[in-house]
Amino acid sequence: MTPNKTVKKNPAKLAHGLRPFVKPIQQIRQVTPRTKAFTLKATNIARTAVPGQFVMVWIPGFDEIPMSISAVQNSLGIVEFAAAKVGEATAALHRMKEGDLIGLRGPLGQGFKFPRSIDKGPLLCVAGGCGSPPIAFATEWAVRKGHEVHVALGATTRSDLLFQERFEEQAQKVIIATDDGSDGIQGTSVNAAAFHLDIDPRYSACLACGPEGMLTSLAELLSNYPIPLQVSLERYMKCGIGLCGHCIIDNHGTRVCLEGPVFDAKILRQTDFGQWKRDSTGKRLPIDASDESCEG
Amino acid sequence: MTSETEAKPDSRLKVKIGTVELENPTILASGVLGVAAGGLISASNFGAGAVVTKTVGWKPRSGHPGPRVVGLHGDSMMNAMGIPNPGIRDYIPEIKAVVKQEIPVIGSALGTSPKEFARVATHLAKAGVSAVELNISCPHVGSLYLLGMDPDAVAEVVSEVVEQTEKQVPIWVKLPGSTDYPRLIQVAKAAQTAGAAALVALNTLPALAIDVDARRPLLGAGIGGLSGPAIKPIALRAVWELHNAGMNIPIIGVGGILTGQDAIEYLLAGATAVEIGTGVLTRGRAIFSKVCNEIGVYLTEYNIKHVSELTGQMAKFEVNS
Ligand SMILES: Cc1cc2nc3c(=O)[nH]c(=O)nc-3n(C[C@H](O)[C@H](O)[C@H](O)COP(=O)(O)OP(=O)(O)OC[C@H]3O[C@@H](n4cnc5c(N)ncnc54)[C@H](O)[C@@H]3O)c2cc1C
Ligand SMILES: Cc1cc2nc3c(=O)[nH]c(=O)nc-3n(C[C@H](O)[C@H](O)[C@H](O)COP(=O)(O)O)c2cc1C
Ligand code: FES
Repeated sequence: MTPNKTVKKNPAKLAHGLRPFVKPIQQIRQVTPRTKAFTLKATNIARTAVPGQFVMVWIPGFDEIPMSISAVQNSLGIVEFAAAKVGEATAALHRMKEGDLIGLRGPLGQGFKFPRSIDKGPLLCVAGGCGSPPIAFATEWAVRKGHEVHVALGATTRSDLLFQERFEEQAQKVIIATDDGSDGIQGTSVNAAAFHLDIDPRYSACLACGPEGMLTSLAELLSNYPIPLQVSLERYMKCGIGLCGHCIIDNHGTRVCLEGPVFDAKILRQTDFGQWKRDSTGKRLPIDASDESCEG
Repeated sequence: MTSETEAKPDSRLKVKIGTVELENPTILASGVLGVAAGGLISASNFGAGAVVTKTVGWKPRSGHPGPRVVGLHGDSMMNAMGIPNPGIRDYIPEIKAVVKQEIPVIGSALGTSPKEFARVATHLAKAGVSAVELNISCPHVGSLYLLGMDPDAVAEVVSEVVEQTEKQVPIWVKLPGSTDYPRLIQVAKAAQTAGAAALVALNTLPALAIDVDARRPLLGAGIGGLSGPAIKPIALRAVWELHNAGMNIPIIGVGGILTGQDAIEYLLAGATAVEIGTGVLTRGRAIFSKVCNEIGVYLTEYNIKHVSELTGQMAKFEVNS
């Protein structure tokens, strides 16, 4: 299975994304003070999902919200996502118990593209704040394919570092950064990425997820290197299947839910990337770094 | 940025909906891709003859909680978006960006009173839309659906809008999804008398989908609107009933169009043009150019010079009573 088959030309595949699989939650783990990881058995999703893709999570009685897939166990048909508690729907999710039913619609969108060859240099994976889930999945996937992976992981403080152990177990090198210096270097995941680059900049690709301000500064940093950057974006999603237009980021009608959420940073130049987001009404609001709920 | 094919112009497909002239009879339906200017522009680039905006009201609306869409058998679906929109003032820049590209834009308007409908329509007219489509018919916004089934209330809204917009822009009326054809005819006649320039038939049909595991409705709002091929026979009959009822304003058919053949059925039943929504899921945004090409093939096959010759050209038949 290649990671980036275009979903839009395959109606049968879209049909998956149009109906939730409703399943009992198998396991809930508190992974940071404000983030819980949830696992469910959803064989169809586990079998086809690639890192960077997401699911729409239906919390019955509350809402349906997008969540990146943070891991799959293909052989067991298990899917995992990790949700930070930020508002009403995620709070309701955090109140749920193992065995409670939730719905998963997906896998949706396009994931990361991995370099074909493992000989062109290691991969640099950068996760800031709440951006760890797709990056943890990408790291495990790449390592399984034989890539060497270096990780830059950032958070506001030590206890908010998401999936630190998983990264340390899987990746060949991990540099940690915290805003308050409670762990690793003092600074952001971008500072940690710069550290990796200073040691040896011969990376084949860079994959990143995190607050948009962090992604724009990473793009700026990498513009000094010949390293292709892919970033995973977040936009308010209503349908998740490319129909409603709520997540469009440019005048070509590029939809984050269908053509993204992972984009080659080059094609984001003439888009809302780093500048505008829509709220639940569709109103465009400037991206203000201080608004973002997950720093790092 | 995308690989879907772009449209080729075909002069046989040009249509006139009253005073509104379009390159072809396929129009992007309201609520699909229309939150952002880019979505509307992309539909036009992929061949739509015109684009209808997301329905916009006076004040911002967040819409219903999710799930907001659910797929059914075949290519049909239901939605309960709840008409999220930023309110007319914040939506104007999106409309202007599309109008600037010389794309015919139809502004879809919503209001909580005749006056509010008129205020929104006036702003749309000022932004340069080619027509205003009044959404009196959303099935998951209860008050709207009730309005659309009440001929007197519809007449009141349409007259207020026609008066306040001072005939600067044609007013289209989008009818509710319903199998109550006599009532639809009454509403359509009321709208026509009040000054409507075209009728759009139909909006989604009120419906329900249930998940047996959760034992709950599959949509956050409980009920939703059915769209796609499942509603085509119903909307097609509505178009035919309206046409037969002797409306003297154009009818735009909408509901379940996936192919050129579907569009031709609507034309034969009495439509001048068609709108396409859910089909964007099935065939991608290139559905507009694909449907146009398919209509073109039919015109060639039957040696028909112009698409307008198809309107209402189905054989007459008697309905047994
Ligand atoms: C592709 C994608 C992947 C995501 N992956 C993760 C993840 O792995 N882990 C995680 O914790 N969070 C993830 N998010 C963010 C997550 O969807 C929101 O935090 C969640 O929807 C908040 O819902 P709420 O009701 O609790 O909060 P609200 O109080 O409703 O909102 C809080 C914030 O969440 C955003 N939000 C709310 N609803 C949506 C929506 N339907 N679509 C997008 N954003 C929304 C709002 O813009 C707001 O800034 C992802 C978002 C996207 C678009
Ligand atoms: C996701 C979605 C959102 C819609 N939003 C609106 C809307 O805001 N205003 C409106 O008048 N109709 C709305 N509709 C109805 C469509 O414009 C159209 O009337 C209906 O879907 C039938 O056509 P179709 O079968 O081609 O989709 C929406 C439909 C869908 C599927
Ligand atoms: S969320 Fe509807 S198009 Fe992306």
